[in-house]
Amino acid sequence: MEITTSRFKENASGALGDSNLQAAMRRATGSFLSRRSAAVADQGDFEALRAYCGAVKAHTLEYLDHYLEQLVDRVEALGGTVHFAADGEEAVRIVTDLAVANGVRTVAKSKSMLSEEIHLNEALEAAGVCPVETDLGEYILQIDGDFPSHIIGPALHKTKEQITQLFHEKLGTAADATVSELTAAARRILRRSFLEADMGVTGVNFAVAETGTIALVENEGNIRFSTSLPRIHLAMMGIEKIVPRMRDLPAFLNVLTRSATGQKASSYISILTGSRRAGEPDGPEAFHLLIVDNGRSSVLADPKLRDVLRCIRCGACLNSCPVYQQVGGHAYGWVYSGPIGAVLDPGLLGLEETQMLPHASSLCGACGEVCPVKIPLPELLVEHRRRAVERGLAPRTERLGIGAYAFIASRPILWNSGTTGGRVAARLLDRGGSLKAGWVPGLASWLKERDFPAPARRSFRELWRRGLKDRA
Amino acid sequence: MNRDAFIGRVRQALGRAPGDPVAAPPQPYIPEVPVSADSGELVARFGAEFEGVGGQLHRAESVEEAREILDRLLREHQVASVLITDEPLVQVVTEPLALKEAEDPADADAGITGAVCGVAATGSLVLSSGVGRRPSLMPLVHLVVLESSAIVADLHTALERFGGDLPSGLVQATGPSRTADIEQTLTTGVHGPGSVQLILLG
Repeated sequence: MEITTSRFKENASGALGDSNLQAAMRRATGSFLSRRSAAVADQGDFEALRAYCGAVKAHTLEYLDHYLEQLVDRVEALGGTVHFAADGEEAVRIVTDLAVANGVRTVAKSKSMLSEEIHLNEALEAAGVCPVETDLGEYILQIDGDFPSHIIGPALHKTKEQITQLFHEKLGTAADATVSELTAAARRILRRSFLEADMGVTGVNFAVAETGTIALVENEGNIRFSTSLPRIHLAMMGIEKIVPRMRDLPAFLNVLTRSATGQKASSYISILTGSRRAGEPDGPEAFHLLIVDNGRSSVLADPKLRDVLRCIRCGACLNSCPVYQQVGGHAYGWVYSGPIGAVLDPGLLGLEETQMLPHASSLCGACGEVCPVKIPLPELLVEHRRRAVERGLAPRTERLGIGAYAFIASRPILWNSGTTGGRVAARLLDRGGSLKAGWVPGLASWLKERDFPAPARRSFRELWRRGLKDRA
Repeated sequence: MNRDAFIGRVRQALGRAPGDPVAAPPQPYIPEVPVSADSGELVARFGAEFEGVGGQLHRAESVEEAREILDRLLREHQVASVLITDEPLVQVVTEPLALKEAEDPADADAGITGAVCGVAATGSLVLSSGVGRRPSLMPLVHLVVLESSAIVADLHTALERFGGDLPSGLVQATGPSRTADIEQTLTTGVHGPGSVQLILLG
């Protein structure tokens, strides 16, 4: 997918005008949020769990070199092969080389945001290998040439009517097929892919350093298929996916599924430790773990931003964000959207291309409150904004405006005469409690979509001076 | 990139040097499960959670009763051929029924398996690759036979049972395969079983 993070404004206004998208977003985020609330209330010690998971991730990141060494040692001891990719290009080369060297024609792919990040499917196709997305949402997107708009519900921006039409055209299902008929068609078609595939490619939800185990969370069963039937299983992970001990896993699985879909446990949690053992009737012959950096170590090196690498990709911050709820994931212009995208994308892609994203927030703080690993998202959004200004990336008008404000606000005489003058002017424009000033240059576009309440007749400073004296 | 260069870059990002000390990780915290260790309560909680996620629970007092239930379920689901694991309890229950095993696993109508244990907190079944991954995954109907003494409080307890010796694939399965990818409409039996029937013995 093309990166369009710098066109957030255009993307967002397009999204706001799309009534299908608006309806789909309202339904999806509302349903995710209410299910999450119920699941969180059900786990009495959820706050303690959040604090614990946040602390474990912070600790793991602080000593990540140690835990990477441990993980790699364990996976190799189990007979697995570990590959290291500095960037996306190297990562896709490793996967395609492995596929080609092993005569792989079909790859059964399970949802992985990392694979979207590095454009894996395009590279596999170019190498003559057919990647089949097997998560239903991802499959819908693949046959439509679309890309995910949400970490958990990749196709939630599409309505049922759009999907029915798509399946009718591409797969020949009935023009009025029900959701269960559409699902049954996908089951039938994808089952063939699982049987044909020589390689299963998955992401990683958690990698346990002490045992070399990876844990994968899903509801459909496509991950179980991808990791059971093909003779090769390749799992790819960013460096930040590690937890130190097996005993940490239950807590993380608990907060992940409750935060993501509001389930106490998702349908299937696969806890995979190496490839098929002697005496086991089935399973992959070879296990490969691909560990990808792709900008993460530079985020790690930044003590202020490091916390963003705690993310376990639950999507709760997306659902809770009033901006995401309106514009959807595509507007952000890259794989990671919503508040986590607005904080992570500048770290991975650079602030030059992405400085609009931290502004796609009202700083209401909802994202920080739902984050299951306590990433201080609102603070990090402000940090990116501050850096954009420092590095001269903020728009000229913003810099001039804030500069002028700083100049006036730090000089009491200018400030007092300015606010007095402003109130006098406002009185002239006051129409029933709000200002009508659409004709004032520079204010027109602001006022088009907002009410501007008329200022009080007396300023706070004035009331303070008088009122306090009167009362004393 | 080779291992040393790759991890070296991470180490440098952290301002650490090889062999630098590592602080102890936070004390493990196991999520609270408000259920007592009393076996009756464990089974009751398990049953409620299991049915809550869409599983169907059948209680049997004896192996014979388990077999009768299984036989009835196979007929109800019009099962022609099955996949069966070689676990002792499964074998004892199924053997006299002389079921037809599917030649190609892809054609089986039902899979009959045991489970390592049941997890009361979430109504889950823990399945091990030791007995094969296909029987619990490929057919549309999954039939499980389990002793009620094999129910534990939570996933942590289930994992502890393995000590350090984990099988290559452990699955915590909670209810049937499901998706909500089309307009948040819950649909079961996407890739894995659409129906999970548990015969709990004892």
